[in-house]
Amino acid sequence: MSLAVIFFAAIVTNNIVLIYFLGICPFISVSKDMETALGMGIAVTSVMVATVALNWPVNYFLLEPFSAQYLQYAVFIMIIAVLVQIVEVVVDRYFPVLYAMVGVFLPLITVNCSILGVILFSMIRGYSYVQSLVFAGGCGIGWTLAILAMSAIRMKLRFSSVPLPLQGIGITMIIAALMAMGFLGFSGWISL
Amino acid sequence: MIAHYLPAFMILISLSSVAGLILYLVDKYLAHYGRCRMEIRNAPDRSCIVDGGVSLLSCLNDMELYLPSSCGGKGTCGFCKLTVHKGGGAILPLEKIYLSRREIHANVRLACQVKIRGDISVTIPDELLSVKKYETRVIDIKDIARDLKQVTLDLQNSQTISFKAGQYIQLLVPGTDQLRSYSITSNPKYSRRIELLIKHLPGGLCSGFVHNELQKGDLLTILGPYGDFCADRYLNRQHITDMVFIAGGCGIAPVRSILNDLWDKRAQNTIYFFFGAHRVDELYFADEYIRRDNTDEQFHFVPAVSEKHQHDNWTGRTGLIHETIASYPFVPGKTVFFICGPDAMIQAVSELLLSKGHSQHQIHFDSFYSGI
Repeated sequence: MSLAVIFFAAIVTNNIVLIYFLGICPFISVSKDMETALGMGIAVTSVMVATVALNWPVNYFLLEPFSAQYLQYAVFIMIIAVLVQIVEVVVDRYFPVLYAMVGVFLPLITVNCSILGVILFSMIRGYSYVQSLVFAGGCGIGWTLAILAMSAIRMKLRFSSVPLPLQGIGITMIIAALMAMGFLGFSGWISL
Repeated sequence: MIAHYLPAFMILISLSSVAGLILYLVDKYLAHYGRCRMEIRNAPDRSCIVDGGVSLLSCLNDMELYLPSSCGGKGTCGFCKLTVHKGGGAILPLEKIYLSRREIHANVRLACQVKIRGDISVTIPDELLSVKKYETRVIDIKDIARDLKQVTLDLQNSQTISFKAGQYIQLLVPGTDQLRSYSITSNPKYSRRIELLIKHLPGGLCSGFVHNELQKGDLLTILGPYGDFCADRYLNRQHITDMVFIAGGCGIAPVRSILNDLWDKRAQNTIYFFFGAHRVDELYFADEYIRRDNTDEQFHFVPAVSEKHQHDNWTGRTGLIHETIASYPFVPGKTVFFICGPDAMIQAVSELLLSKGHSQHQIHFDSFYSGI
């Protein structure tokens, strides 16, 4: 499968959040404004790519030769946790405003299921190292585009008269569902 | 069996070691900010070298410069304001909620949200330079009402506290790093002991501790005094004929201290005290003020309850306190107002007074911070 197809499919037809519903928690919570959403998107994409870059060789050069694939989950999550710690320190040091805006959701990337989902999809589908990296980059960009779209809609919503019981999370979940239905329309286009 | 699991064990050990080493290096070279110079512009003798990487608020606390903070540094009370001239970094979105446009322009920041990342230069409000930490012992706990206790604290180690009537202290909740603010209700002439009125709030960290666990003889740490809800600046001023105090519920605490202080200083101003409560049993100390009202021509006590029940033996005013005040013809420019109580009450009274032509400068208020 060509790299372009994997990349494009990961962004649109197999969007990690709108098709697989992974990484919903920060998608809902950090999408109140576009600046924060973009920062979170960049952080998630960086961790996704770095996670795949490290976990792929660990899996194929360390776990498989010793028949220890049953350690995949523990090892992958440990590597994700280390990477998130590094990203957190870097963001805190060099982007303090962004660090304050994303708050607790930056360390929570550690338990963001989309990160673990991307590396597990790469293993299940038997991607090569480069394909895995492209897939991770595509998934990260897809997640970022989805959260940016959601934040743009939520910013518009501030000027709308949403019924009181639906204000906040309620209307956000409905919008997420409508966006997912929209993206579902792309699903027959390319499949991975 | 062991041979089967040995590789897995070795893989986990080696990966954990590498991860630990990487995190150690990141912590050492990226998370560590080294030693930084802290300059206090209005107290140069307190300037020193401090460890970077911590919040400005906790760093100042370590330097025994105690800024007020009711939320424990979470950025939800907005009390710990100071001016940062250099080294504070960009203002955070959370701070903008608590700072006016003028304050942002003047580099005012919330100390709890500023992280020390290098040399820093600040100016602390002058009145806070005298704030100290005191060790106290509980010498009396009195039930004033079902949900209100009066706690008397005796200062230890021969310390004395100098405060103005109307100021407040912060109480360190034992076993935590959380501070809670309480107005001093005692007379400032007593410098070795202070009294606090503490109302029990459902789920309240400090009020729950005081009402359920605090015993006579216990030691408590307090910081203070803070605040400028003080009336002595208007004492016997010729152009101010009336001083009006408006309290809601346990908002009586600072007013009680101010009234005792004014009477000690033989104030010549006419004093009105409007006291609002939900129920009759929440009109704390009302008997005392009714007696004073009957004997002192210069003092007028006007209590009012908003919820009157049939079994209440209440013949006084009913309704919200701002409705009661509306019928009094106070002269704008010659009257000063001091309001203490819930935010809704302060807002209602302030709007009423402004609509009657009173100046914003002559309306002073002390609102509760509702964090529990």
